[in-house]
Amino acid sequence: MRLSTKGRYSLEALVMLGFLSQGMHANISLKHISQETEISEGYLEQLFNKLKKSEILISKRGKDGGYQLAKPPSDITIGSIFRSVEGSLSPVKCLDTDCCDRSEFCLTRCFWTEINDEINQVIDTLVLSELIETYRKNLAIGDKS
Amino acid sequence: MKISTRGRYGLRMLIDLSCQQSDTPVTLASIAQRQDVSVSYLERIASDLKRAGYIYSIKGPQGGYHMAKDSKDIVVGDLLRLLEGDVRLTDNHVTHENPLQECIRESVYDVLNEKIEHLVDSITLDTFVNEYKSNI
Repeated sequence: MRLSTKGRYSLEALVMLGFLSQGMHANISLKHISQETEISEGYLEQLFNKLKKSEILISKRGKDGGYQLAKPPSDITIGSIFRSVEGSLSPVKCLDTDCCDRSEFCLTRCFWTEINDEINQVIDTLVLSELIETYRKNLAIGDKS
Repeated sequence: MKISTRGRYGLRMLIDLSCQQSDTPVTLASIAQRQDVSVSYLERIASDLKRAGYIYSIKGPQGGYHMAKDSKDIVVGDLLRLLEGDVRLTDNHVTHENPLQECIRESVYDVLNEKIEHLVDSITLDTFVNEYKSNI
């Protein structure tokens, strides 16, 4: 039961993107994000393509091109980020399909559903802006000390 | 982010074994049939469960398995950790964590891991066994 680097790196890259753009509609280059997060440009590009498809990011070509968030970070849940790169987040495979013919009398299914609901409850209420803000505060505290 | 078949089948195997009332040992073949999983896969899980003291085996033609523990003493989290390694979403120890990763861990992963661990550690096997018995 592991979150892959797809989900983890996407979250890191998006928090960094939000932090760097400071709430402005600035385009941030892949290179800049790669430098700040130490995630390779190639991998970031793969992840960003998926995030564009799910309308979390938009990109602009050209000299001042780069990426920006497609909507305010307060409208982007952590769950939507994870789902766009990881696919399903359910803790067990059997919750993803309706094909299990045991599901109606499966004693453990309720339990897995409960874990699934708990995970979703957290990631669907937490939004990107909260993480950007926490990161900004942490850095400010770090600078003072 | 998945609990594999090891964890899922292992849990079902112990529930099944706990629900069998008879004093005769329960064969893996009968569990496999009831749970619709392969005997050879159950054998591998059974050897881990035996080593960890959850079940014991009786050899011979009438042989099979018995529960070594009461189902109310089996914490589901312990069982899943045995079969799956652990139940966390992210690795416990990161050798080099930058401030960004630290911030995300504290705000997201620690919260999720704590909730999952709390859920799996607050349920014991007898919850499932009682549910099964109330259904028959």
